[in-house]
Amino acid sequence: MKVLAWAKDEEIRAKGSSGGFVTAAMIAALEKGLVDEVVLVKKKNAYEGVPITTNNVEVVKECIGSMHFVPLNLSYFIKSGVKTALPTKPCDARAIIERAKRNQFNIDDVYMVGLNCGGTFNPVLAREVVLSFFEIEPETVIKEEILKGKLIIESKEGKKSVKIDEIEEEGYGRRNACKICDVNIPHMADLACGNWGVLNEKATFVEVFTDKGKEFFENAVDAGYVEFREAKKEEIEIREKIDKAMIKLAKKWREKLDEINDLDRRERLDYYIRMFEKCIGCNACKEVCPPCVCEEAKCVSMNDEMAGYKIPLYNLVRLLHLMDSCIGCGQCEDVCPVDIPLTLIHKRFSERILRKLDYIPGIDMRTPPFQETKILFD
Amino acid sequence: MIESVCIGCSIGCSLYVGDRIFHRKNAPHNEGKLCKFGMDLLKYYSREKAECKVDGKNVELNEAINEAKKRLEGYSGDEILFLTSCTATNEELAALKLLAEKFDAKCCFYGYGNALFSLKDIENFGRVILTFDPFVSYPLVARRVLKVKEVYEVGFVDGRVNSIILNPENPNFDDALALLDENTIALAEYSPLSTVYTPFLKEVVKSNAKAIVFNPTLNANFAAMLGFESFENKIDFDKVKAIYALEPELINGAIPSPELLIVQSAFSNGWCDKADVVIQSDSFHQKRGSVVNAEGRILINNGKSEQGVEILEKIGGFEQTASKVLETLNVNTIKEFSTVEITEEFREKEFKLKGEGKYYLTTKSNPFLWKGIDHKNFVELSVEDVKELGLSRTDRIKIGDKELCYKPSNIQKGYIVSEILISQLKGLTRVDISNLHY
Amino acid sequence: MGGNMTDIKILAFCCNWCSYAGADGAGLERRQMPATLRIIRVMCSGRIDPIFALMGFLEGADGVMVTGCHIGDCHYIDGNYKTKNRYEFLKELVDELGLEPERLRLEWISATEGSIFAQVVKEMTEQVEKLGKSPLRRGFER
Repeated sequence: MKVLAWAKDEEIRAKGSSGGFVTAAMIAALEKGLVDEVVLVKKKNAYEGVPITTNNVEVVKECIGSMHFVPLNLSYFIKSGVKTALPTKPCDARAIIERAKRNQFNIDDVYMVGLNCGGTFNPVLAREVVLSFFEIEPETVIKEEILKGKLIIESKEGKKSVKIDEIEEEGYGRRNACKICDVNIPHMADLACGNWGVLNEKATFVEVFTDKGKEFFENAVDAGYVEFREAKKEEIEIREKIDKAMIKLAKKWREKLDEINDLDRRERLDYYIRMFEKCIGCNACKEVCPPCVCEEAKCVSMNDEMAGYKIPLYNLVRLLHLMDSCIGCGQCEDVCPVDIPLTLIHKRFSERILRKLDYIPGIDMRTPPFQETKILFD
Repeated sequence: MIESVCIGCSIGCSLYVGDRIFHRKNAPHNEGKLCKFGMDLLKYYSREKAECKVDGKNVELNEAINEAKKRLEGYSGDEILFLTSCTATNEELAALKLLAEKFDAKCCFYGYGNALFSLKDIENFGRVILTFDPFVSYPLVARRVLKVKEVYEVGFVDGRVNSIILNPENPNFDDALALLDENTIALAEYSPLSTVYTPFLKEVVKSNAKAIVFNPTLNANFAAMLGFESFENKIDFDKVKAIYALEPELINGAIPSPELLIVQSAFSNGWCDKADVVIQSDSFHQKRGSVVNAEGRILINNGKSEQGVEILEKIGGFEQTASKVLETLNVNTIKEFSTVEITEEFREKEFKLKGEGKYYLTTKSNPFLWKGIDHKNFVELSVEDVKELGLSRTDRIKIGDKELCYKPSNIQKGYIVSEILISQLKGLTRVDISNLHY
Repeated sequence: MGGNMTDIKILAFCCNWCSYAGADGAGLERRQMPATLRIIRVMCSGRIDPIFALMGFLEGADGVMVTGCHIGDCHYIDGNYKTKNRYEFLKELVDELGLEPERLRLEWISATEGSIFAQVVKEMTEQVEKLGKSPLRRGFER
């Protein structure tokens, strides 16, 4: 089902980044008792948001609007046994599925309201971008938006837009994980919402994938919070075109960012040794990794700082365990205090085996191959 | 989740404290990144709390405050010493200063105030000279240092980068000083362990070369701005009859025993055991207030409690703390992440190689060490020494009264590198090793 | 590099029921085997975590062999199915990491195949000798 939907409430529709459908549907889900809680990001300013869990409709209204400068993952905040709805970027949705596979909660309890995502920015770099490319004082930014390959910044003095390509050529721009991410429409979520395909209209393009998604959508319509119309052929085509362009761009970046590709075997080993030599053993990458749910983790308990190995066992265990579960969200790279390019490294390690297995982590509930008890290889 | 500041060192990484530690990516100085201590911060906060006590008996908070006030008033200004390790908010330090002013007493801290550059600025220099191992001592500096072309580490053992190796019997900094130029920044530490580098630091500061000085305590910079005096070499402890200690963690090693010792602390420690009056305050993440980090950046700790300030205000009977903070910072309102410039005159402290033994023990400072947590149970020895001592893989060694494991490492013969405290705050020391043959 | 025979170390994980008995058989039959071999016996090849092999490399092994019962012959029914899956992960990891794939080998050897065991060890030793010592070895011996 592909529709254009918008919030009936004029205020929500105006404030929302594209018609306020997500906010309105969340409120409907809470009020009609479809869910117990929603997980949202409360905006502090353009560069900072705090994840909150709430059942208060007024709080939901405050959390309206998109946040491209707040690279969070919300999957940690879902509690077991609580019916929850939350907005999910593709990486959130994939994280939720991987966590559900590992029995953190029942996937049937979670309504994944997918958001189309063209990428997020590191907030500190975003400030620099706003200052140097837009010549706007970073603190005065009211709203930011990504539309048709352009970053649009709204401040008191009005709107300004710059092509993202231009920013990225200079080495700024989206997070590395987002640059190489080729899942832009969260087709693994229950429904996908976004402004792709919407033409000069305050509305959200909504595609419903699952029965749960249908239930969530119909609940919002029945409760009178949301109005909709069928999407036109032209609109669907535009959306598909944007998606394809984004996937192509991701491929380009995947090659461009991969500095390991040109190295021969021994140089590659030296590269990995050099990278993991920097590791200070803070375990931050493990703590933020959505598929890593072990409380007593093997990577930590097997690691022996005294051994003096060329590559710490911690990193090797993580490399192995993420081969079939890395969802490419880039949270690990964000928090690495010594800037190891973890997203790309994990991507390289998982790519080959996943191609052999025809398996992609975080898109369905298939058992992770590493835990499979039947033979998967010839 | 509360926006908070890590108390590990003077970088003061911003983070969220809730049921778990959460990264605050918006912070310009650490971009949400944390070191091992930051990640373990909740463990630190869940330690045993201090209890309000008067002469060893448990009392209510108010009673402890009144008792402290009553007893302090029995001494004259030059008999009282106010001291702090600076793991406190600007507001608390300002209140401590006001309290000291009221008694006309000295107010002391351990640290050195210097903040002209931000961590990001380090990347713009062509050369860096370090006096510490950035991967261990101040890990958030490491990623900045890695972006610099030429990196030199001044020290006693081989570092991961170009090393300028010093002779422990007679440290000579000429080689390091010769590298100082327009395009060079020196990163140094000011701590009880780093006194050996004092001549170097002194020259750097004197030559107006660019430098960032890191302190093991969070808020030493604001204490310096308030004009606190240095704890280490200006105080004549024989004269002091009463001490009021605010969060005196760092200086755990040598606890003085005056007639009256009043300790205001969140956690139970050696000072609380010795104190006549213990006043319990909330732990740092619960506090509302600001701090000034090594870069001179104002950071906000967004807790709810203002108890620490209230205690001091009650004892002193004043309430101008907030305005004192603004006045010291020379601002109208406290704006998070904004910066101030601080330069303090350098205080020299003499270094003398102590101890007897065959091996030179060098200690790498890190937040765990200053907080009295042994996060490792091993020291690094050179491969040659391991062979010479006949150590097999499961053997343990004894240094002083500590039983330890060891890690063979590519360092020079005759040295021990430790990340835990083996001999009390002496920096470089000579020790012996005995093989325990397990 | 090259290196002489005694310097190379081959680590073999053998399952109790088949390949260890096979290795034992090779000994009983007095077959010549290189002195490079170090055997670790496990109850089932399914117990072999890929991390064990990696740890072997880090500790100084120049080649690692994973051996078990033939598919279908597992004493615990499906233990070696898991081995097979995990070995594929290990193989890809070792390859991407930058170690030569020849340093790693999976063999199904039954209790009666002592001659095959000896043959495999010989082959592996020759291959690894050509490659030289593992670059993951520590700079010093512990």
